[in-house]
Amino acid sequence: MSLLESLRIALAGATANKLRAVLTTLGVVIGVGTVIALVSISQGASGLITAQIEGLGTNMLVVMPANVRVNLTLADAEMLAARVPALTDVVPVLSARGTVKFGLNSHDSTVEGATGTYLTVRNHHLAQGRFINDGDVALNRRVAVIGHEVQTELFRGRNAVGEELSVNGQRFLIVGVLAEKGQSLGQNQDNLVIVPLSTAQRLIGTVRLTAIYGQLGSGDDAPAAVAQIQQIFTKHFGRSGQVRVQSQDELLSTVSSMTRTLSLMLGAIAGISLVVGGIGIMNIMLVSVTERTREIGLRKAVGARRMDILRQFLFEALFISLIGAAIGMVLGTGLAAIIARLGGWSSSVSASSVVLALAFAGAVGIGFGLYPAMRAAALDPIQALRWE
Amino acid sequence: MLSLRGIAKTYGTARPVHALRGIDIDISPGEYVAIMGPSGSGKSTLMNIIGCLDRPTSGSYTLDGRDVSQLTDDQLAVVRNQSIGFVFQTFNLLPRQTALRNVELPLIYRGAPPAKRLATAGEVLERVGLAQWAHHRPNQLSGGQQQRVAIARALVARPSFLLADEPTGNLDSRSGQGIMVLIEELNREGMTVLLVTHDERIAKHAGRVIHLLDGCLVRDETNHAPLRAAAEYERIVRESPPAGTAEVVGT
Repeated sequence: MSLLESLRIALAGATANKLRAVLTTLGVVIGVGTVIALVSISQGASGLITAQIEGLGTNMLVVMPANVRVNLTLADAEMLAARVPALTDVVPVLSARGTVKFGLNSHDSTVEGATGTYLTVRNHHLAQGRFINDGDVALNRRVAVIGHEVQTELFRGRNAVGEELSVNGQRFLIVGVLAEKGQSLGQNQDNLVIVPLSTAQRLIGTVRLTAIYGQLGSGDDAPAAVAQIQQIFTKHFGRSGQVRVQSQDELLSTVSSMTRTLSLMLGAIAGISLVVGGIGIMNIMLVSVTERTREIGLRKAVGARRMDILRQFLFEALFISLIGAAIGMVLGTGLAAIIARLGGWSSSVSASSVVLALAFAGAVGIGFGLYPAMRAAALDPIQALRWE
Repeated sequence: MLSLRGIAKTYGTARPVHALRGIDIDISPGEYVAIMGPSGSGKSTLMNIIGCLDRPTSGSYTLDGRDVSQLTDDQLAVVRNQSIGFVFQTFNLLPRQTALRNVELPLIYRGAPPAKRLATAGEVLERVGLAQWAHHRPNQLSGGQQQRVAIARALVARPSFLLADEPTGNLDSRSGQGIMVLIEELNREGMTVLLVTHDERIAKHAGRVIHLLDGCLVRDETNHAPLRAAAEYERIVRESPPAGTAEVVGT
């Protein structure tokens, strides 16, 4: 008997009891649906996180004091710029909380003292005016560039450039406004007031830097640069572990290993539900074989061989599980789209997860359909024909 | 055409049960043979062996010049498909398939192309008088019609012989006699018929009657004046009221 004929008979068998077939597929529907939805969700979420990390700046690294007893100064930043060739830019940053006021409006914000390269290294863009320049830093000018949120809070949409605002009681001329950027890893990138580093040192009353940002020419340089910086500071402070150096690549790989673990875990859950679905299929196929014992006996009496019967029931199980996979795929895609909308990332179902889910469902159908099919194929025609 | 030599069948090893104890039978093409015997006589066992559903413990069975007594299950399936037409007491039609699809079944396992299968099945259905019922399912047919479909299914692969096990056992006397008429006609057209029955009156239609008792062949006699099924059928039709109350009469 041809394969096509086996398929036709299996199809007729599976569709004979439609409600039962559909209920049998539920396990596979849930399994495949979960695989599709969860893979899509974890990909979407990790894409969002990756985009946020990259939003902090591209190929960037951060040097921070490891504890409060360590003082990083402008001199250290200059030392790094001179001695680490992989760094194309170095930005010393002094950061503190501050209260900004304009007229009667006041707002709590982050005040950052920085140099001119801060803009590009931190991947900010100007919406209006200009950024801090070297002249501002050299002359301790009282100028400020404000973030989007500060502008909306204090100026309610009115033009801010050229106005004066007060930061911790001192007056600053606003020379520029940053474009809106949003949250990055829980950090508000819009609630900022940036002033020249030298001015900030006086305003806050310390020369101790919060962090030194370094721009790398290429992400590949990151591990070597991190090692070199650690070495420099070990020598400088006379002991190791005085600074924390974190490259963006490191952060990205941490995130991707986290999402990999997450995907594996979700995959395992989905795999378990597919196995449960497979057991459901096996159960129903065993019932079906018992119900159709006489049919099997008759088919054997008129010339069906072992393989003919085996294929008929195996294909039936396969058909049921693939139908389940198809339904699961539709539901999973829908679920992924809904959650993507809630989570604010773009939903995409990758071809690989579809292939994976289909292959797994097929394997489940064959794996769990094999035993019932073998039972059917092994039936003795005499006994089967006598079955009541 | 069909030759049994010393066929024996024993079940169990610890306390063996001898279902058949050395049976010799030769059946020539075109014969109409009834195999009779009370229950427990080995009748069913013999039928299973002749029908290639079972193998004898010892002895040889030659069918169309080939020894089939020790073939594998799959080889026996092929022999059943090509050489034997089964007719069962309980019809054994597939309930979800139309009459035509039921008749087609043996040809599917033979690997015949679909168009040819359906054409052949249609012809055979016409031969048993059910051309206009081809697309009805078994539950839309009467018992007699269902058995006709089963006979068509048995004939469709042009077997060497028809093996009918109590073909009228589940039918009222009128439809049962109709089936006997059909079998008689088929035999007259050249089909070899083996009828397994415990009913003396059914066996009277055959030209040869073989009696079994306790696994032995006790009598093999030629019936020179077999009962003419057609004449019997006419008598029943004459005497009984229309179908529906037919089962009251003749029992």
